[in-house]
Amino acid sequence: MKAFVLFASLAFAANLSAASSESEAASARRFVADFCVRCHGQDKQKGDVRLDDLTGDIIAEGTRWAAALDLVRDGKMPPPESKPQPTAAQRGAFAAWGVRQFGAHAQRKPNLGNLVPHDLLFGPAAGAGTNVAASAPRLWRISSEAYAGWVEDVAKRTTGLVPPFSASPERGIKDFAALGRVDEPTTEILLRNAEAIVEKQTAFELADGKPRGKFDAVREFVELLRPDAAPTRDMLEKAVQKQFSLALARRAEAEEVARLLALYDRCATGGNHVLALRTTLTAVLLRADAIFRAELGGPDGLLTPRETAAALSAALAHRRDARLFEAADKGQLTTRAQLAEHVRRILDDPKIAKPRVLGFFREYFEYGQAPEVFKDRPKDLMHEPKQHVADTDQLILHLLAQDKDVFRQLLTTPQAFVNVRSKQNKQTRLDEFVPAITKSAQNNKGQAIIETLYGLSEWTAQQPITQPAGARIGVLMQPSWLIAWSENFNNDIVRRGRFIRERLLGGTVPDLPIGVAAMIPDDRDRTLRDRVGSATKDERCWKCHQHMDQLGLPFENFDHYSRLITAETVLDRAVTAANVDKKGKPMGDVFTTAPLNTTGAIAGTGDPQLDGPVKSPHELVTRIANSDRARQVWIRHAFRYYMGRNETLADAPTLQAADRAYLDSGGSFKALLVSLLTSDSFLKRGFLAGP
Amino acid sequence: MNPAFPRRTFFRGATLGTGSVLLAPFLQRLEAAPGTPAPKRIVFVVEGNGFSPAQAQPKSIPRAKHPYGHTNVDTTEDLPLAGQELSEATAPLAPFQDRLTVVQGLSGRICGGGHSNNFGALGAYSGKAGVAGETIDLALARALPAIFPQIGLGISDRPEHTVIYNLSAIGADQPAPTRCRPDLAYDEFFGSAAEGAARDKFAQRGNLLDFMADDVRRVTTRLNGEEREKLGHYLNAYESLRTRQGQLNELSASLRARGPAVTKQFGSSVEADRLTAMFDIGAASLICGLTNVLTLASGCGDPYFSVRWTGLGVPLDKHSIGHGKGLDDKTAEQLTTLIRRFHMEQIAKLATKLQSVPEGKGTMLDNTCIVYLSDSAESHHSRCFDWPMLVLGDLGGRLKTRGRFLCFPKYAAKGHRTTANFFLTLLEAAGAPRKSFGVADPGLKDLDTRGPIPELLA
Repeated sequence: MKAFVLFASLAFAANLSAASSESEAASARRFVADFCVRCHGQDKQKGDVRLDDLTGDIIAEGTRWAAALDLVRDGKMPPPESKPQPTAAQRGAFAAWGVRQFGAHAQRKPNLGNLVPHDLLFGPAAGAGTNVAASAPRLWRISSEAYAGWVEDVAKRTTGLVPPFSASPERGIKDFAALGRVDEPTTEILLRNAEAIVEKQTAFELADGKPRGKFDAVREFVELLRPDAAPTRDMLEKAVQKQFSLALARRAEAEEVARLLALYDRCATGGNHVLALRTTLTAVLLRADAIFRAELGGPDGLLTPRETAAALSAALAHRRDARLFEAADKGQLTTRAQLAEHVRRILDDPKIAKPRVLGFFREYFEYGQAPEVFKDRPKDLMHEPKQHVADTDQLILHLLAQDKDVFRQLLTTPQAFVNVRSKQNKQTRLDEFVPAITKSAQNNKGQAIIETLYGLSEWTAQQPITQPAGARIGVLMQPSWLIAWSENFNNDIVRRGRFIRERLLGGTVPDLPIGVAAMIPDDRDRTLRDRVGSATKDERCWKCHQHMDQLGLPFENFDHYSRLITAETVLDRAVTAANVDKKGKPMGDVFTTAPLNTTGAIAGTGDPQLDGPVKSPHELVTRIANSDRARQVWIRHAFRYYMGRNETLADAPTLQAADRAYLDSGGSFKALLVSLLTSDSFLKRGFLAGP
Repeated sequence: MNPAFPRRTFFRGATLGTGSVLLAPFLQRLEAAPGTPAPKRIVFVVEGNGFSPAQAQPKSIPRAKHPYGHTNVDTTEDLPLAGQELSEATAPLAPFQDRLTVVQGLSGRICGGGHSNNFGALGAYSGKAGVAGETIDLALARALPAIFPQIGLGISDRPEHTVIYNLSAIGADQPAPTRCRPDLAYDEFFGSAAEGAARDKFAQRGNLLDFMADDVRRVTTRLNGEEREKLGHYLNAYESLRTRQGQLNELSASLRARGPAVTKQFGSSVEADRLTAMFDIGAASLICGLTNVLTLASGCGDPYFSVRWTGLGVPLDKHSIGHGKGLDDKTAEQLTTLIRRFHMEQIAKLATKLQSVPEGKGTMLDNTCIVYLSDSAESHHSRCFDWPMLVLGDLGGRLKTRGRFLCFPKYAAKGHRTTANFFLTLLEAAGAPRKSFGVADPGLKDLDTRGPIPELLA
C-alpha cells in the first residue's frame, strides 16, 4: 500500500493514467456503489473506512482505492456472507481497472509485482486477445556490480575507486530499470573515478625523452604523452577511438570525434597537452551511454543488435561478452535461434563468469543477508554466517549444474554443502573441496563446529552430503536462510511468513498501518510462537497477520542460530524467583523446556494443491515445491530479475512460455533462462497500451 | 588512493577556534551593508535510535507521565530555563542554556514509529512510505538559498558507505544525499582551495563539465517522458556542478591568496572521528557561506541506525543498546546518555564556532537555529506519541527560544501539537509560511492542528 501512496505523489502520474477512460472510472465507482457503500458509506463506516465519496482520482484517493482493490482481488471483500456478491467477471474488471491505474507504476518498483493477479497471468484466459508483450523503451542505469565490471573492461586492475551508486534500500529483487538515478554527489564520484581511471590508462615515465607506459597503461595513449611534442590530429583520433572501444565497444562517429577534439583544443590552449588529453579521455568515460544502458529499440520495435548484445551480456554477467558484440556487428544476432545459441553458449562455458545466475537466487531467497543479522556469539557453537552463505551458494550452483527439477530441488533437496571452499590441488591441478573454517582450540573453546548443525561430528570430503530423512531439506532450512530471516534474539516468524506469502505463493501483504507499534512481548517464560500469537491475534492485527504467521511458525524446530532443536527452552519464572542464596540474592535464571510445536497452515491461496494445515516445515516446503502455482510465482520473480521490471498482464504469454519451457525440459533453469531472454518481453520495445 | 596526511591537523585548522585563515575573507563578506536583511541559517542534528522525554527533561522540572510513559499534561507548561538543571544527557549544552529551548509533548504519530521513521521523520509522513515528499530541511532550503541549497553530512553504521539516502528529501521520489565520507565531502566542498597541479585540474574541470553538460543534453533531446527525466537528473548534475564550480572558484581566489596550502586525507574508520569531521566540515561550510541549511545525520534511517560507537568506548551496537543490553559496568540507559552527550558536545562546539564569527551587530550564532531530534522519535522502537526537540538559537529573533522549557498538552488533548506544527513554525520564522506540511495525523482529526506554534514565534 505504501507503493500507492508513493505513486499518488509522483508528478507524472497523470500522464500514465491516461490509459483509463472516464467510463472505466465510472464503472469502478459503480462497483463501489453497488458492493461497498452499504457498509462503508455515509450511514455506516465499518472498520472506519468510508468509500462513498471516492471519485476515481487515484492520486488523491490512492490509499483507499489500493485497499479496496487488494481486498476485492483476493475475494475478501465484500465479505462472503454479504449479498449481493459481484460476479467473477465484475471482480475481474474491477481488479483489472486497478491494475491499469496502478499498473504502469507498479511495473516499475520492486516488491509490487504480485499486485497483478496470478490467475490473470497463468489462467486459461490469460493472454487471449491482449497486446503483445513488450517492455517500454528505457535507459537502465548500470548497477554497482556492472560498473565494477565495466571498470575492469576499461582499465584492468584499477584500484582505489569509490563505489558511486548507493545501495538500494529495496528488499529482494531490486535492480529495476526504472530506478537508478544519477544525481550530483554520484556524478561527483563518477567524475573522480573517471579521472583516476584515465590516470592509470596514461601512467608513464620518461626514458630518453620518450614516454614509456607504466603498469597497464594503454599503448595508444602513451604515444601521445611526450611533454615536448604536441600530438597530431591523427594520433588524437586514434586515441579517442581506442577509448570508445574500451568504454563502449564501438567506434566513435565522426561528429563525436569532432566534438571531443574541440574539447582537447580548448584544454590545450594553456600548453599542457598531457592534461588536455587526459581531460578528453575522461569525457568519454562519463558519457550517458556508459552509465545508462540504452534499450530504446530500433524502428522495427525490437532491441537493435548492439542493444541486444549489451542486454544479454548484462543479463548474465557484469562484463561484456565479446562474441555477442562481434555477432551483433556482423549482423548475426537477429533471429531468436541465434540469441538462444549465444545464451546457451554462455551458460555452458565454465570459463565465462556468470554472477547474475547465482545473483537471482541470492536476491530471491535473500540468504546472503545472514551476516547482517547482529547476534551475540553463542558460547557453545561457532556462529559463522558468512560460511553458511558460501555453503548455500555451493548448493545452488550444484543444483543448477545438475539442472533437473530445479525448483523442487531448491525447496526439498536433502543435499547440503558443509563448510567448504574450493582449492586447487597442486598435484592433480583440479579444484577440490577443503574445509573452509577450522576450529581453533584457543579461540573456540567449547564451541561446537558448524558441521554439528548438520548432524556431523567432523568435516567430510564427501560433498555434498545427503542428510537423513527428517533433517534439513532445501534452501529454506539452510542455516543461511534461517539466520538471514531471524532477528537478534529470535526467529523472525512474521517475515519468514511474508517471504513465503510473497515469493512462493504470489500473495501480497499490506504494509504496517499508521500508528501501529509492531513489537513482540519479551516475556522469556513464553515460547516465541506464544508471544507472537498474543501480539497478532487482535482482529485488527490478524487481518494482515493471517497471511504471514501461519507460514513462518512451522520453522520453530530451529533456534535462531539455525540449530535443530527438539524442545523449546523457556525461563522458569517460579524456580528462578526461588533460586536465591542464603542472603536472598538471585543466583541466576533457571530454564525449563516447553514442547515443540511446528504446526502451521497454508491458507488463502484458493489453490487446493496448497491450502491446508501443515505439521512440520518439511510438509510445508514439500507441498509448496509440488505446487504449480508456487513454481509459477518463482518464474514471475525470475522474470522480474532478468527484465528489470515487474510483469504486466501483457507479459502473460512470456510467462506461460517460460513455464512450459521449464516443464518440457524436465525442470531446467537454463531452458527457463533461454526462454525468458529470447522472449518478446525481453526483446520488444513499445509503449504498453494495457491488457 | 590519496597520500596520507594528518587530517585532524587540517580540520583543526579549518575551524574557528584556532582563528583560522579560512575566516578572513568571509568576515568581509559578512559585514552586511546597512539595510540588507540578516542571513538565516538552520542546522538539523538528527541522532538515530530515539531521544526519550526522560533524557530531554531538565532534572529540576518534574515530568508528569502517563502509565505508558508518554507525556501527560493537560495544559501547556511554559517555564523559563534559567536556573534549571539540564538533564545529564543534555548537560553539555549548559553554556548555551540562555539560548536553548527544550520542547516536550510534540507527537508525530503519522510517522508510524519503529526503528526509524526514515524520511517521514523530517517529512511528517509515514516512515514506511519511502520518499513520499519533501523534508523540512529541504523545504527551508528553498527559502534560504545559497551556493548549496542544503548540505547533508553524517555517518552510517558502515565506514565504507560513501553516500546514503536515509533522511532528507527534495520531493517525492527525490531523496537528498547524506554524505558519509568526510574525505570525499571535503573534496566536494573545499576542493577549489587546492594549489599547483591540483589547481590546474580544477580549471580543466570547468571545461570538462561544460562539455559533459552539452554531451548529455544532446542525448536527452532524443528521448521522451520518464527516460528523458532520468537522464535529465544526470544533466542537471553537470549543470549544477558547473555553476557551483564557478561560485567556489570565486571563493577559492581569496582562500588561496590568504590561506596555507591544504591537502586531503583518508577518512578514519572510527565513527566518532567521522562524525566529528562532519561537524567540522559542516561548520566550515556554514561559515564560508556555502549553505544556509545543514543536516547532520548520525546513524539515521533503517538500516543505518545500528552504529557501534567504538570511538566512545562502547563496543555494543545501538540496536542492542536499544533493546536494553548494557555492559558489565554501564546500563543501556547510561550508554545512551554517554553517546548523546557526545552529540551535545559536538553541537556546543558548533555553536561556539558560530558565536566567534561576527555578523552584523552580533555573531553568526545570533542568526542561526540548531534543532536536535531523533528520527526515531522518543525511543529505539518508537511509537511517536512524544518527540522531544531541542532548539538552540532564535534565528535572528524570529523565534522565541531564548531559554525556555515548553511542554505541550498530551496527545489528542486540546492544545496538543505535532512535529508538523513545529516544522511550520520554522518555515514561518524563515520567511516562508505555509498552511500545511506533510500528512495530517488522522488520530487527531477532531483537533485543529493547523498552522505554526504561536508560543514559539516572536
